[in-house]
Amino acid sequence: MRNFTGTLKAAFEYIDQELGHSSDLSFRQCQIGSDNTPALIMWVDGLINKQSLNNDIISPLMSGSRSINRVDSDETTINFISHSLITTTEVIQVTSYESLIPLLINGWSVVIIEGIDIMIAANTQGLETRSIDEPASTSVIRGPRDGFVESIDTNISLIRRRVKNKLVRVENHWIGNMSHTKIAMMYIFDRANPDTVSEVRTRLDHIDIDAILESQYIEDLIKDSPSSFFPTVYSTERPDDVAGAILEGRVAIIVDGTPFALVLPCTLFHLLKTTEDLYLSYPIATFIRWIRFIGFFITLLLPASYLGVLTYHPEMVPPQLLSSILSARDGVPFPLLMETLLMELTFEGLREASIRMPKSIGSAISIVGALVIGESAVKAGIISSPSVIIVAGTAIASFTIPSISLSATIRLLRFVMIILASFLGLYGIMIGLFLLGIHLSSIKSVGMPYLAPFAPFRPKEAERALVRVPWFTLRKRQK
Amino acid sequence: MIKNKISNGQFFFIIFVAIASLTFFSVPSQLVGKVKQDLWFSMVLGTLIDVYVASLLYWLGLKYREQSLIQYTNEIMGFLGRVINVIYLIFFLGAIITSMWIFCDFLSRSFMPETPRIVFSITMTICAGFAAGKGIETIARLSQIIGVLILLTSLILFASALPYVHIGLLFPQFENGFLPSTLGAIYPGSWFGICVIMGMLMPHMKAPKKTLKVKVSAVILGSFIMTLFLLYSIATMGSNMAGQFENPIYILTRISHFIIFERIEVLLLLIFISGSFITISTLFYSVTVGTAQLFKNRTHTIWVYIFGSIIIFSPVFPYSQNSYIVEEYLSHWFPYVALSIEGGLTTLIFLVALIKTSVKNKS
Amino acid sequence: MVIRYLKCIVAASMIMMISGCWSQINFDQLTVVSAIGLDLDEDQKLQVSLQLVNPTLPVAAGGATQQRRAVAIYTATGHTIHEAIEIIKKQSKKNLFFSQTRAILISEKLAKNGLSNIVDYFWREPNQNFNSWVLISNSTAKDALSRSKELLAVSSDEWKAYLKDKTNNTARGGIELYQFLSRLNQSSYEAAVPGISPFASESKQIIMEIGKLAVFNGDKMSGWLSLDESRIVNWLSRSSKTGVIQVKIKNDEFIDFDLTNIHIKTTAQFKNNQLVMSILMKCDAHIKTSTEALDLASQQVSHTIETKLNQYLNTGIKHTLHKTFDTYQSDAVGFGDVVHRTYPEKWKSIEANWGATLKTIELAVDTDVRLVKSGLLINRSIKKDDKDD
Repeated sequence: MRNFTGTLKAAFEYIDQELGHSSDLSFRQCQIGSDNTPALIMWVDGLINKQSLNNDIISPLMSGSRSINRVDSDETTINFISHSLITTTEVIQVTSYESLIPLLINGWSVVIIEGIDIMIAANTQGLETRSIDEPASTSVIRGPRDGFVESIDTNISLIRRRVKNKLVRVENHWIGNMSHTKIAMMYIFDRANPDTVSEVRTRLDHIDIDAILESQYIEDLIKDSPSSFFPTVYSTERPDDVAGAILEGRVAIIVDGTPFALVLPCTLFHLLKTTEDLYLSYPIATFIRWIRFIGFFITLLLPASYLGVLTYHPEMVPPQLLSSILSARDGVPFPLLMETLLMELTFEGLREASIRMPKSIGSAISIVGALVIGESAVKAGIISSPSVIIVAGTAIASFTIPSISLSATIRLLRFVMIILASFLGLYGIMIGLFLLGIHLSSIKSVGMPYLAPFAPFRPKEAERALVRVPWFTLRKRQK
Repeated sequence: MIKNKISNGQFFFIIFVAIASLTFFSVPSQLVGKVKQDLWFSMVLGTLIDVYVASLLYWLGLKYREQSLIQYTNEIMGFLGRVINVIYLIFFLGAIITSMWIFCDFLSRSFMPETPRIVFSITMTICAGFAAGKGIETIARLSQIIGVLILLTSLILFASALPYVHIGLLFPQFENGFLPSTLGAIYPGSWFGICVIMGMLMPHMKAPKKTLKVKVSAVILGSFIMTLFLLYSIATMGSNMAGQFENPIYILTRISHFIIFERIEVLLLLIFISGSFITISTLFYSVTVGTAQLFKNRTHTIWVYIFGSIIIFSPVFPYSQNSYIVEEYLSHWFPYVALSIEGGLTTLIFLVALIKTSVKNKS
Repeated sequence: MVIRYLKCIVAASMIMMISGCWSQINFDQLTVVSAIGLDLDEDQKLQVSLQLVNPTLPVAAGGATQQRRAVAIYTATGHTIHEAIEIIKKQSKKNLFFSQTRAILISEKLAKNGLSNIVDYFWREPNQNFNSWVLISNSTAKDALSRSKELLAVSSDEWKAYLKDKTNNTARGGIELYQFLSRLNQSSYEAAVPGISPFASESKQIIMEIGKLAVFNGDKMSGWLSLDESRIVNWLSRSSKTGVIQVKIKNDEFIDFDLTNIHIKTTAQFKNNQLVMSILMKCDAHIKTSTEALDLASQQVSHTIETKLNQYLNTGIKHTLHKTFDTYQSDAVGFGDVVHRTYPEKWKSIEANWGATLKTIELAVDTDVRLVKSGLLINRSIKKDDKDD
């Protein structure tokens, strides 16, 4: 469809109107060639790199266009300009407004020459980006310190530089009727299961949404059981994490505008692993991984079992322990259930408050928390010290879960468990675990059962999930 | 075409968990009091009965690939098959109700004494119904986890009860000859025999050829563990005392300590509650799917609700608190009826199928 | 549609379930019953005393400064234990917690009167502790519970710890409730229960001693054994594998031995219709102290000691068994079980009057003691010259 006629004025007016006389549409008029043909360079302010515009478009046009002769055909002129003068990385010749506008708002600059019905669009994209620094959500002691940034190209490059192989595939999608966000699917051709790849592709293609501002949008839209509390998509801020995942044959989704990349499929055990496991020596990594598994169960069950055991089966508590709990609870006004709930809610509140607090006064929260709850409440006899210990233990355990979304889910389910334990004691907890078990074993992540590799049991993978297998034993497999 | 497939390992654990939990709740009260220290022989005989039934079902299952017990009975027996199927389904339902009754009764007497029985049946039915609705794949996956848990707990218990054991209490063997223990075999035999549900699960197997081997090893492991449990309780308390309690294994765990924990019976109960959950879910699944197949329904969901609302009321059925009738039912009616259905009907179907095949081969 | 209604029913039943928390315990009213005392009062009625623990903070947590009595004793009488406990519940206004009872004290008077009509409570009651230790009290159980002086604040804690302790050589084999209950019912292995008796009294408090065994015939206590006899019965019933004994070698010459690794082998045999029980005892003996000089390097001396020790044990065992069998008609060492195991057929005819058969048993005792080197001295010996210094 050619609807561009080659008149500068008309072109400018049309574009200006399309963008609603937006004030950040900028232009520069100039005259090129031996016969001083008027030309117009247009761009949208802020999306382009001014230096690149100056050096790669404006100055070559000014200085090098002397040799342009209007006697030549339009084609020759345009080809000369776009192939020999403009020095940006990408140049396209455009003949219609419809294809021009998206380029303009993506940070390209357009050169229009009076009388020639072909426009030249040159890539001068230059968004202001944050420099690469350590990811805030996951920090490691040993391991690379770079994290994703908000620019998709940088992010892809961070992964590419780790896996320098021709088999790495990147597929771009543009999603969001309004936002036109660029989304890249990355996987390794030989390793990723073709079914998984095509499944992810179809799911991305089926997304119909206004705008994508963060990868959570995508996560919600493509996850398998949307109503489930459990995350079935892995999100990470670390390029080495994603690189490791695609090497395992999983598929990564990188979204422009956010440092969080998504990885599919993702099972419960993926969420309990960290990249650091791979950087530590294998016995330590295995030990830490086990601590994390235990932390998972403690977070879910500790307060509930405390309540359930004490209110339904106090005979299970060893006599001395029972005696000290009884004496510690002497005179505490709240019933056990209320006390436990109160303390757990206080902890959740403290946690939320400390995230929202500016960093400079963040330490105030911990002082208030420790002093008010830990000291005063116990000393005043309002709260018994065992329940403080229980809450503190649960809190510590919840911090060992590496995935933020899983940790949040478990902390939420913990309250369900507490309620169940208050109705039926340990039997209630069992019922809760059954329901949880049925749910977990019936959901999947892009075709992979959520509890894999334990249910269904796959010995080799289960071994690798439980133990961080040392690299030297994997040498055979790597060949 | 059947979508949900279960692997050999999963099938193994379904059967193992079923054997262990059925034995835990239902067999001891009958067996320990009557057979005492020779009960291992009854357990062996019970296992043999079950292996016999399993091999018949295996043959039938291989002959009629991708068909369940209900479907091939229909095909083999024609109209009579429908009657037999109804009997099978009623038996499955009866087995669920009986085991649910025993389960609720035991829990409300020893575990949480003031809780009404119906609470246990409601919660358990909801869980089992939820699982049955999700399909056999879910049940199978859970059974793997719970099966391993049962095995581990059993090992820990065996280790922690070891100081209390006096081997001498297990002797003399066969004091009153072989008769009591042979007759006693009907109790484990009838409860083990509930594994006829194997006929319902076989079409879901990934490798049906190995079913028999897996099934037999699961039954042997299950009955071995439970025999050990029963013998342990006799060796700890003496046959006299063990025979007087409703559930000697429960008393055994009350007596034994684990490090500083003096009362570990609650943990044992929780583990076996989870075992019962798997068993009841599997039975529930079989009965609902079987009924759906009988009535040629598309899904079995509706039957989950219908049977669920029956099962919920199992602990409050009339006569369920009349200890004379209950005793009569558990020690005579149920075992004999169960054995004649599990062993008898299955053999009948097998024989007819055998004759049909040989006739077909000749002609 | 139907399914939706059914879902509603499920939800409704869930709500119904939520409305009650049946077996819940009011944890703050919970009071641990640390010991149960059973007496027979003047009117021949059953008197039940409960020792309730008043929880105090552990000493490590600063509990030592708390000023409150550690235990409280409540007493009531009734025809059954249950009746008395109901009365006590009204007195104490607490939620009594029986699942961690440490000890059950039965007074001698009650035990001699027979326990058959009270043990049913322990068989039937789900909330009780099968691992509580049974003790027979020489004085009234109430007295023993309320006035005993122990290092721990709760006296029954101390008793339990003592009876449970396997590393303590002097500890006498205790009997736990489940064993006690089963032995009351059987004639082939009858109960022998450690007694707790007042040793000395200091103002209000009594120092209690646990050591002597009370022997049962069926459900009735028939009498006490002396300390030495009790020790032997504990060995023979395998409830203790160690023991400290003193043997008189010559006049005024005593040696204390620590016996360890005691192994007992009992076999039954019928010789011309006469039941012969042979007992083989094997153990290691460590010399603890001697009043005279010993030269253990000489074979003769050590041989003499071994012989003396063997003789001492041999006569001790025979004497003890005769006493329990003849005087008390009680099979506290489980010979009946041995006969039952070896001759199941014959046992059926003997079982009925096993008590009488006990007296006619012929005993063949054999002991095998090994002297083991122990202590700090060379050659396990004290030489004369060492002593002269």
